[in-house]
Amino acid sequence: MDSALLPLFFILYSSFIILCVTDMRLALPAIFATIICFLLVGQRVISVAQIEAFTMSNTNWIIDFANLNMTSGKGTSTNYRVSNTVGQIAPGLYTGTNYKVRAGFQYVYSIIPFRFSITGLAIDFGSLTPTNPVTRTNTLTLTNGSANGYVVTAYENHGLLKQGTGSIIPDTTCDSGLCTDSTSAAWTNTLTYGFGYRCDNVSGSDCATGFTTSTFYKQFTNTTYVSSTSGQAVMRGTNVGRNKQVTITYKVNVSGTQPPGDYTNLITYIAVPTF
Amino acid sequence: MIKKISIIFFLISYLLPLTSHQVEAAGFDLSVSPPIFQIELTPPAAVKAQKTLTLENTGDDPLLLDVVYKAFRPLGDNGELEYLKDGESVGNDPYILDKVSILADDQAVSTINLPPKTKRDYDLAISIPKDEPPGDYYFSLLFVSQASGELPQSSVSQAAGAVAVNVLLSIGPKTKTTGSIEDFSTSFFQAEGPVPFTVKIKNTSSHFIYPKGQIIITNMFGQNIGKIDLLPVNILSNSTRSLPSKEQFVFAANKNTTNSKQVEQIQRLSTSDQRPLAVWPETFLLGPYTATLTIALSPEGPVYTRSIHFIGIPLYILGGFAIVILLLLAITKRLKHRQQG
Repeated sequence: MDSALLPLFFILYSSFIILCVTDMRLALPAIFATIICFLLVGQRVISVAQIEAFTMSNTNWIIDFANLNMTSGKGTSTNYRVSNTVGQIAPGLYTGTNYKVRAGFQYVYSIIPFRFSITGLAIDFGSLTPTNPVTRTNTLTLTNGSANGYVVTAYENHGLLKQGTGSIIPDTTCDSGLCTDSTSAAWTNTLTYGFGYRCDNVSGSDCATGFTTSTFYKQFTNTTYVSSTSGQAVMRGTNVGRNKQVTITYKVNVSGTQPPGDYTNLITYIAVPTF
Repeated sequence: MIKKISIIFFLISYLLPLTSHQVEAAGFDLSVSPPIFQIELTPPAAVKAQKTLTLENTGDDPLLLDVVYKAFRPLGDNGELEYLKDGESVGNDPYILDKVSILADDQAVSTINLPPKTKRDYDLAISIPKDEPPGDYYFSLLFVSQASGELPQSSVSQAAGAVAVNVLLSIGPKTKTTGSIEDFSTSFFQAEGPVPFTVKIKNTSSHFIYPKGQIIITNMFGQNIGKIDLLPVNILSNSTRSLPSKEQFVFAANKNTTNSKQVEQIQRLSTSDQRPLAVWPETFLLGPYTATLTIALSPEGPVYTRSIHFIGIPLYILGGFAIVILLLLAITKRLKHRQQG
């Protein structure tokens, strides 16, 4: 409801109540009148200016959206021109003989680039000792001012592997034995072994689902991005935004039968804007 | 003696940075602009968009990036994608990705070396011969950081970063644009606003489209009282996509200068069930309304229209009414009782 109308309603309504108390015959009309008033406000008949200037057309069909504040297109040659210099509504548009290239989305503030950062590329677990879980963290930050959504997927090339021996610390299946790269589960038992991760929001709420409980972990998708169709999302946003930040916690725990040594793997995070 | 000390000092000062570099965790910080290219061409065509792709290493560490081309298909209906497996067909021309290149100084590049705090522009080039078959191709240009060779002597997970730029390439001549309104709905009863609408458009054309549309809200008297501009997102060939309202993206893009509570409310609503929704931001609703979706799949049409109805019933106001009526009845009953007494 229009806040400017609230005092008026309050006065009117109070008057009705007083009248109703003094004369019962007015009660029904008063209630009826109040309902009508609310209905007219709800239908936006008495408080709101009519929507005007629709840009749609029924005959030739023109739907034109306003041009938002976007970057200018650039680059010219003898074969093509930058069309925004001649007053077209689509900046970032390159045209030439037989082609048209639109660079960037035509509806969002595209001066803000698509930016992805990772702090701490070497997640050092130190020397692993049996039944002594080690956790380490790093931070992912994403700014997607120029795209309307994004997904950060993660892939590991393999479990933690001792080079030269083939000995591997497998991905955790959590305490229940049920967690995968798409399903999270609790991992608190020091006798549950393996390697996994969890995601916690720092700024925004873009962590993938499944990490509401602080003891829940998942596996990384065990493949390379080159051969896989799609890794599991660790971070996902459906709106534009700046500096959306999450903390990734890596956890590893080994059994007494795990051969001692240095284990390594590679985790690749890919930030992909939506199309 | 002094000579020995100075040699030791020199060796320490020389080796210390190397040792610390091995332990120090370097970072990845890369920005790309634009995040997407939408290219429509008719063979033969030689596209060279000069200085159209900008990469910036915004971090403090140098980046050595591999340029990887990966074809994709749409995943779900909110603009996400999944990459094709190696060997999977990308379309009519299996060698299409060989005809695309990123140029620096007119030379195709497969790796890019970006020093810290450096921004560089690159050209996008595509060369299509006369006999190229028509069809759409969707792929990402992936800029993948190469893993550092220096690692601590312990158990380590090494992280690498990558950023994608999507390319929608449509090779014509284009066929007729076809599609349909797959879904246009909202809850019939609305206790309060904002009102979320599900708008799903199916593209059955052989090329991608970016339809433009609006939802007009009319009241019970037929007056236009609201308008929702839909975001003209790309819908890939033979896929369905949910269309959000444009307003929420404008709000979000200008978050610093807009009412952040309103932004958060609309954003929360528009993404509450992990799919984009078109949102009418009106908060007070009472009575019947009609929402009419009109969408043009391309500038040449076709144009589709569909209407739905919903009713606003503000429960908190109705509850208030009930309480007031009960109070009135109680007061009048008491007054009558007193008069009779």
